[in-house]
Amino acid sequence: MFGHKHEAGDFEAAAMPHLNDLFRTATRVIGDRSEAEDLVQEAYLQAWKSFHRFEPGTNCRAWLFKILFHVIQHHRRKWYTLRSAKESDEILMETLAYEPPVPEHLSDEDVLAAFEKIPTQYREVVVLADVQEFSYKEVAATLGVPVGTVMSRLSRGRALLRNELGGLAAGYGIDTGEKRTGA
Amino acid sequence: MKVIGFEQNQCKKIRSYLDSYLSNELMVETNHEVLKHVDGCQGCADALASRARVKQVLRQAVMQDEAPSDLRYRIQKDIRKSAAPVRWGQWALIAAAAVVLMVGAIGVVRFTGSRGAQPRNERAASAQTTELLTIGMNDHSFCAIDHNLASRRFTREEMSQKMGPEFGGLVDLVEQKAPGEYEVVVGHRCQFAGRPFVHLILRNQETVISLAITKKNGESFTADAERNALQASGVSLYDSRINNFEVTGFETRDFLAFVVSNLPKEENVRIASNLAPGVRDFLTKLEG
Repeated sequence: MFGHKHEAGDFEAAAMPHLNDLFRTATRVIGDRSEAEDLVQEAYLQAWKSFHRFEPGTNCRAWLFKILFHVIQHHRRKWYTLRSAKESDEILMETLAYEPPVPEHLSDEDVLAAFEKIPTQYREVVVLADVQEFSYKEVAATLGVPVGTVMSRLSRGRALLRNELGGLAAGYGIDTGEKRTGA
Repeated sequence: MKVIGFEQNQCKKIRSYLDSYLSNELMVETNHEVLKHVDGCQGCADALASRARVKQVLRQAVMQDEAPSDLRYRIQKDIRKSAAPVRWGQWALIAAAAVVLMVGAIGVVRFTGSRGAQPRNERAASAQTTELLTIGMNDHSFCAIDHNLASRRFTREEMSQKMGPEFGGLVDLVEQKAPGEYEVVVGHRCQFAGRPFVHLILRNQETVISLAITKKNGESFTADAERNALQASGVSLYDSRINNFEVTGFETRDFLAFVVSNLPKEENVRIASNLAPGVRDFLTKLEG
């Protein structure tokens, strides 16, 4: 309480270096930069308010991501209804049996546009595991789901992204033949 | 009758491992099994390469994005606004709490005083020493802990490639000088707050130690701090506990080096003492 000013400095030193990572993640999960900005700002404010509960020496980044996803989930509950996982799974069963080849040359815009087409529950796992390089256990703790769910969503999310990128290959006139990978 | 060959079954099994392989989540034995299979199976090698490439292009595309500078400003404004001094009404409560704490503290001092006061055989690190040691702590905390790099395991080739020929020999040196139960799992170059580091991570089960080396930017441990420093074969060691990490630092003409861990002080200093003379000689050679 007396050291509030000092604590603000401690908080900024520990938390602000992760701002870019949080913003990138929120942008990819929400799909809108301006909304992502608001959510990240809200997540930082909540983190600051509960900074007294943060134990120095533990993973500040993982702690911030957990708060960010809590804010995102709250925001979603307020504004959107997610397509149910069951429904998405049915679609996936049809789409994942075949893997088209991924084009050699891809622009960042192509990749991000393809990524945006993936349902949110897969996108958030892929961005946490593949972009932010969190372990399965950390992703599970961040999203509040079991590790097995993380594994299956990651596998399906990656496959969906390969499918979307493969769709670009077809658009570019690249041979998508009958090569079945069986994966 | 449909006959499924052994190889086809093997491919199916290996492909079911590819996602966990890419996430570095397989057991060492299964990892070897994947590598061995992929070595001799073009189809699975292609599937792995394609998955790795998609992961890499996605990461690259997402990482290009930066938070707008006014977002940083807005967050800092929020923090400072809510960290503003408390109002007068609250001071009464604070004063009452302080009185209770003081009374309690006097009681504790009296109680422990009967058993003899703790000898103060070490002075707290000066603010300037702590500031310098914080440089190493930040890199350890950001890279090994927050980015979880301590859970990775680079091969020797990967380490030499990431560290560059100049620092390639450091991995062998550190492995020789560190206690036998520790293994160098990561060697790379990284940055914290724009400052470049050569960073080695050692692990012994759940214990993580960083050796972080950075070029001096005009800083040096002060002569005053040197009087309190510990000595290891002619190298002065400076130590402090910062944010629950134990940080032991030393310097050469051009470099600052830090050994950081969550070990108790004596253990961290002991490991730093083992490493410091060899690392000092290594860095001195680089300085020419």
